[in-house]
Amino acid sequence: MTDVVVTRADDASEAARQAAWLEAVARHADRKAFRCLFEHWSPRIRAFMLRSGASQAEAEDLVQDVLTTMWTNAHSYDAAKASPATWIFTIARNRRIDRLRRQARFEPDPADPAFIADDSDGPESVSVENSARAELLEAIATLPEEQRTVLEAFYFAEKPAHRIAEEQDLPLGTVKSRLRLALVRLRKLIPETSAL
Amino acid sequence: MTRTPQHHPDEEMLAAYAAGLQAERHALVVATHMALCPLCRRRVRALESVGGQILDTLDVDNDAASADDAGLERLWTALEALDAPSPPATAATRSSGEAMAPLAGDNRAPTLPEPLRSYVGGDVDTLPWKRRMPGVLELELELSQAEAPARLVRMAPFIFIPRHDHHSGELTLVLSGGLRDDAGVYERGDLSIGRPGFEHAQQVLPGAPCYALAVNDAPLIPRTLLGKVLARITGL
Repeated sequence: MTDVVVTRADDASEAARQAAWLEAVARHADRKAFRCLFEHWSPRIRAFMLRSGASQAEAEDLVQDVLTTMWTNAHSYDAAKASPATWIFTIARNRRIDRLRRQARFEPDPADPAFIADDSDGPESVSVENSARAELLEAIATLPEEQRTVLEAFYFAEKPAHRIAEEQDLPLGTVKSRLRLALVRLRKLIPETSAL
Repeated sequence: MTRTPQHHPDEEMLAAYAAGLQAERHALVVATHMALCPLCRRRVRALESVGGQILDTLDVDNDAASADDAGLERLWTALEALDAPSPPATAATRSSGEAMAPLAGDNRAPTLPEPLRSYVGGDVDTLPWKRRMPGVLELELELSQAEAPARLVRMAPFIFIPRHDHHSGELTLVLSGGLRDDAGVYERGDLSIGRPGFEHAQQVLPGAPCYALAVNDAPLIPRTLLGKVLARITGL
């Protein structure tokens, strides 16, 4: 990775562009903006589903499903809480849990009287969030290739560590420690008070 | 200041939750802990943003997508059948659902936070508990997949759980009252992770009954004669 700085600047403006597209979809069902989202995200969501074990037909179906949710739920996207990529990842992940794993997805409910609100959940300085996001982007861009590979396999391929180990012909311990290294390295860079 | 949990899920559990890879019963434990733990919610959000960035920077053939007019056409057809964007919650928010209301006139926070309360169908006062042994009530949870059972337990103050090891994992999420073991004190929201080879004896703190959600991958291995006898009697 030699073009880290370029990547970082591009990604920040790319995120802002995508947030603007989502807003246009939410506000006036903007088809041109949605086409841009479709072109960026459909191949990524397809790859995500295929690597998670979906058949070609299932993957096509799930791409439609996730993009339909993006269209109908664009109004619930909150740029202060998450980048468009994070929001779309959670939609794709939930569809995968639902459709491929046939499980329920459990989430806390902020409206529940038992829910403990975060003292720092309130509106925070956007500049802090943006700089945290930029740091995370850079950290991911500069991960050693071997850590990036296990991290991708972990998030996308829905393979337990022992399958990753088999496929890459590595000892199980090596795969597990690379994954742990990658997670710890990223976590250290993420201030625990910021929304990303 | 509200007390927040001191004992948390480990990094791998949070990452597996964020990636959507956990077994259902483990995800239920993590989500219920998160309801009480702002720190772990922030950690999970951070791990979700890692997922988002990895998805965003995935190496794919962008030209193929621009050329995928057929796919876009199919999507428009599907969307036109749906009306304009202004819909009720769908998949993305479905599982968080409506909070089940606490009993009328009751201002206390429910003992069981969401998503656990909806999952078991009510708060602790309304559940069909079964007596397991003197001082211990239990409720087996049905899960949609064939997994080792999870259960809610209600233990009277001072109840003692004899020393035992664990075949695989044992997760105990304390929801009310307190439990003490060799590693410390566990109160509302605290998660005790019993790993294979980790031996402990547990005792309920005085004062109030202890409610906990317990998930075992395999039966406990009793380490004492008393424990063995109890295991025969109770199946614990």
